[in-house]
Amino acid sequence: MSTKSLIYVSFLPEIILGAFALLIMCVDPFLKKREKVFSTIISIFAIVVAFISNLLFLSRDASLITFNGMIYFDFYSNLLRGLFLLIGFLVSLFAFKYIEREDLFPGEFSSLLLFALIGMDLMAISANLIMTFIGLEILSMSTYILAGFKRKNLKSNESALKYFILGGVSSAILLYGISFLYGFTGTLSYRGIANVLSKGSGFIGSPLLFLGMGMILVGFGFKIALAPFHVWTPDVYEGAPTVVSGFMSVGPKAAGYAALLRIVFQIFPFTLPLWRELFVYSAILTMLIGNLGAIIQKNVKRLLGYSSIAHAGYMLLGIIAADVMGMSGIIFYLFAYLFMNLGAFGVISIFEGKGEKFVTIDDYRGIGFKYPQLTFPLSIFLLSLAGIPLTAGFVGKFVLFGAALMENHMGLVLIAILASLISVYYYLKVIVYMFMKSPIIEGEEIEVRYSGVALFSVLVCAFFVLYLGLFPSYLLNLSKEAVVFLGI
Amino acid sequence: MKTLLIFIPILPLIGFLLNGIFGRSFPKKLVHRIAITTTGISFLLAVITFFKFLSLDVESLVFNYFTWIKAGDFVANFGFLLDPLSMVMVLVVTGVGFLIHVYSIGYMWNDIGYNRFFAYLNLFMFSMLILVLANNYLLLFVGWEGVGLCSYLLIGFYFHKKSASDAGKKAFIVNRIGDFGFVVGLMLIFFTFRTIDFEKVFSEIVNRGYGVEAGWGVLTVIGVLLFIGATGKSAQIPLYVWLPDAMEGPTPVSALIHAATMVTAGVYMITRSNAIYSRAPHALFIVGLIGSITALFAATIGIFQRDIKRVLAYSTVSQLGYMFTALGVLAFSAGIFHLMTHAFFKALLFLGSGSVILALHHEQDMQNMGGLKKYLPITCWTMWAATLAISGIPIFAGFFSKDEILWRSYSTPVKGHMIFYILGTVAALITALYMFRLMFLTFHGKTRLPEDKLSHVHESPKSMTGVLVVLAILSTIGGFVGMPGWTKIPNIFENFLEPVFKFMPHKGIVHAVEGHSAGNELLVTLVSILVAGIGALIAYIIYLKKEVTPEKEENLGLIYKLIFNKYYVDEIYNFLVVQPIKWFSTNVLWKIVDVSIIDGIVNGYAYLTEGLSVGVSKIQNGFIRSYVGWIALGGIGILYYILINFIK
Amino acid sequence: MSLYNFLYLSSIIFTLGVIGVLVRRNVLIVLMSIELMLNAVNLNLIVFSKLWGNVVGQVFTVFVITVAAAETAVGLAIVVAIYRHKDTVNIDEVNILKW
Repeated sequence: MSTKSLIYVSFLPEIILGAFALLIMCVDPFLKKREKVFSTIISIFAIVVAFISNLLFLSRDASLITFNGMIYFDFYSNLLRGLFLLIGFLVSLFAFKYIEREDLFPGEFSSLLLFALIGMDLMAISANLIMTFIGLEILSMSTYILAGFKRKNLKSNESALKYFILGGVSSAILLYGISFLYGFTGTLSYRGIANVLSKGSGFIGSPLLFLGMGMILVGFGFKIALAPFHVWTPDVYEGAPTVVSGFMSVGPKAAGYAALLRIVFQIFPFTLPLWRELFVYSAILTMLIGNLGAIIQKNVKRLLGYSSIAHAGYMLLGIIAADVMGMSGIIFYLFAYLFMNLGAFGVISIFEGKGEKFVTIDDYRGIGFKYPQLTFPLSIFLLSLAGIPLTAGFVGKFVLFGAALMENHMGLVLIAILASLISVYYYLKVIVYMFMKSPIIEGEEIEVRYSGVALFSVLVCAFFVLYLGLFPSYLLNLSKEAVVFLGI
Repeated sequence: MKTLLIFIPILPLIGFLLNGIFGRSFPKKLVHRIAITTTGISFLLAVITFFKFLSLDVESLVFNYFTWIKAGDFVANFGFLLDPLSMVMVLVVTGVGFLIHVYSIGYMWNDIGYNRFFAYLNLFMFSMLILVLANNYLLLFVGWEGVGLCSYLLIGFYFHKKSASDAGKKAFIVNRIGDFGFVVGLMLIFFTFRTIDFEKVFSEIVNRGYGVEAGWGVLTVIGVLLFIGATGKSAQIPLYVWLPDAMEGPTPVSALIHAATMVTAGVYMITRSNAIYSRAPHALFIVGLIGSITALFAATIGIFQRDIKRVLAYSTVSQLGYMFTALGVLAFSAGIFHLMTHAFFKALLFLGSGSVILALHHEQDMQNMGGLKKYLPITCWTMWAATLAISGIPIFAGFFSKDEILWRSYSTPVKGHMIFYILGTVAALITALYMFRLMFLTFHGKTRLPEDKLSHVHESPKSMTGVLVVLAILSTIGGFVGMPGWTKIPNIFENFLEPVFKFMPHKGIVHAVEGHSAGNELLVTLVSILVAGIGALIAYIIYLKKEVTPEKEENLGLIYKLIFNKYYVDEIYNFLVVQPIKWFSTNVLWKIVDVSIIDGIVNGYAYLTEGLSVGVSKIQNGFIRSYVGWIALGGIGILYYILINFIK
Repeated sequence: MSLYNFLYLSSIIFTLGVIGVLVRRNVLIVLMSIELMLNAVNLNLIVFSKLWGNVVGQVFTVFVITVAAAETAVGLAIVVAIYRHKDTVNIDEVNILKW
């Protein structure tokens, strides 16, 4: 393959996504109301095509830097891109009926989702901080709009405003950090910075470098909701349209981790020992705050918001371990988390009914055996989130905790185990309300209307949660293969 | 054999899936047919496996089905370990489980949620079989959590009752504490040996030359942590509190999960880890001490309970204490032996009490029973077999196993063994006392049931009584496989289990205790028969001769009664002996220790987390500016960290 | 003029931006404060670009300006949506989502 064509091959999925996103924007205004569904179908088609092109051009044994030193073409990029496209695919399936029910605009939703996917991809494949920043901003701006997608709903508006202001501040801090890093090294490419840093330990006392690194940490800490930068999470998840909350809980978090892994291990491998302590504090705080906050929540969306903080904390253990097992644990966990959390949000989006009426745990009383096709998968998702064995969540947690343990972080692992034992309480509470409480006698009751598409994607998620719980080896091997390219 | 073995747990899983997903549209008959066929076949397969295993004449077989988790240099297989220990457990679980399934048809027939019940029960069987067949700690943990989940679901089965859902919650919180210990222990094993495979861990212990630890070495710590897990699951002090409350579940559940199988998981797990415990005398001492104290403590509480199922619940706690006592003196096979006989007679007792409860239309208070022998003859006589067994009357199953435990604790020279022995012997007396009390109050004497109710009392259907008879036979003859040493008949059970203990550092101590003659052993046996007899006699005098009823028990000791009662001497006896014990038992042990302190700790734990939760969520005050403040604060924190650490 | 003077200036601007976000209640002024923070970054980048004699920093500045413009557009749209509901742009009155 010639170098020129390689450039396009390495970037093909993003090109496809972008082209289709623009196509949707052009076509959508000319569609009648009944035909609007067409744009959602185009976006699903785009995602599938991008996925296939990603699959066709794998780079399993070499790490190439293409596009004038802007992007990496390696298996890590391939795998993460696959993850993002999977997220996009499942979210679009859930959105199908949801958008129609809530009377939203399918055209805008689909194209914004595709743009968000491009942003996520860029974050994972970028080889240059400029590219990373642009990816981050494309993703952020799409999600700002998506969070406020219910224009006439005050909660949705508030959620968008909060996410926007906090996101703006945190990306400004991130940029400020990047500017210092540039000032210290004179370059913004990952490899260039790493080269400078690898030349001796002269950097130890440099304020420029460390300020830069600290501020970059703030920026990414915000994106993946690490304490104390997590404050936005519950509010934004509660207010945003449910499908969007589902997307936000897995998408930006995965992208944030993907970029953070690259940055930590490709730019700063030599300084990592200095940072580990910060990560440890942050992980402890994140796990405890996420799990404790979730206990008294009544709103299921808000509960999952808090729980998503906790999960970001578990994943941080992989970075702290900083070995192959920990890294591949993170990637595995991102996949597991994708299926279990997106699945849970999917079921919630079905149960809540038009106008998001039924979102408290009390509404879930006694629906267990009424809609087993939905409550059984939801139970599987929640059990997996709680880390009950034979589910993907358990394997992921075990690998992450095990990795941290192997690197002698005994106390941290103890806290992590304690935190995840606390978490079982609130996940199980939802299950108990569904299966072991008498149904509501007075007042309105959940009435379920769903499309076959949504049920299909719920079942797909449930299947993968169990599959990854029973046969995780294949994915773990792939993750291992991918993280090798990070040069650990 | 590999495929044969995997089907033993898979079949109940299939039953669960069928009944769980489609059960609502199935007719009731189909529901129980599915449940019973699957467990029945799985029992049959277990028997076939047993004979094949015997004919192969090997110590253990490992079947790896697939690699479950592989990350870094860590490997966990989804594999089964078939050795005498897991064989015994599989036979007990499938056998007793199958019988209880059959019994449940009659018992649950008029209940709503018939399919739900059988689905949960089958899921339980699956998890329990995974637990006992697993060839590594992680897979064991899978079963461990699974059975906990099923137990939780089944305790809260009658969810419209508040007490039932409270009981479920309590069981849940208590078991979390236990699980914490277990998981940390598991992690420590993994950390120390870099593997979690049973055989690899144990041979690693042998290869690395771990001796018996004098102080608090790593094995002792692992042992204590695992034992914390066991106290949760197997209801030992201080985490036993959930088990009596768990009686809120349907009676077959109490029989299967909270008496015969799940609660013995802790005993099984420690026996499985004998290579660790036999090198950790401190851990072993804790196991034995907690076990023997629990045995006595729970038995005393059992004396004055009025609810028939609660008596049995405390009795279960006490008998589990016996098993841990056995483990504490390195008599692992005696512990498992008692586990097996206990599964027979305690399941029988629970099912029998279920039969009584059903006949009396869900009456559980023994005040309203009495003289039921006439109406429920089969239930009565089968329960007598179990009572004799649990009290340790010769030739019944419990006699052999309990005697073995007492003898071992008398003779094995480990730390504190005489304390264990004395506690155990006293507990044996009280066991006989409360069990005979239960039988007298329920089946003998004058009936205290109103006439109109009495006419409705009738014996349970054949499917239920049949199960009772089978279990009664097992409770009677089940002990003959483990003859005591002085009879000179080989102890088949112990010899069968022998290969399980090949990783122990000092085989001799388990096999034959030197310095003690057969005469001594006979003496210990006679003492235990004697105390059982005394216990039974006391119960006979008080409850049959003097016809003391639970209600009268409550009025004992009033002063004017002392004066006007013609049985003056008896009253003094009551006042001086029974009353203090009763007072101590109900007020101190039950009300204060059980209800206030330990419940207080459990509730306090819940309140603490809830309070913290409120505190954490208060950070989330909704103001954007304060959120920016948090981010800024975090940023400043990082800068500060950098400043003090790196900037010179 | 030493390099550090520029860095001090930019850090002052940046801090002012942060303080602005923290203390001002009007959403529009908050948006401006974020803008101020981004401009501090731009100043930094240009100074460093001059220092190292390459254009990476200047290129990045162009990107930052573009992104800032887009971000402001999105932000104003959100503010308009809220204004239509509540007739206010006071940031403290937007807090129905909490705890």
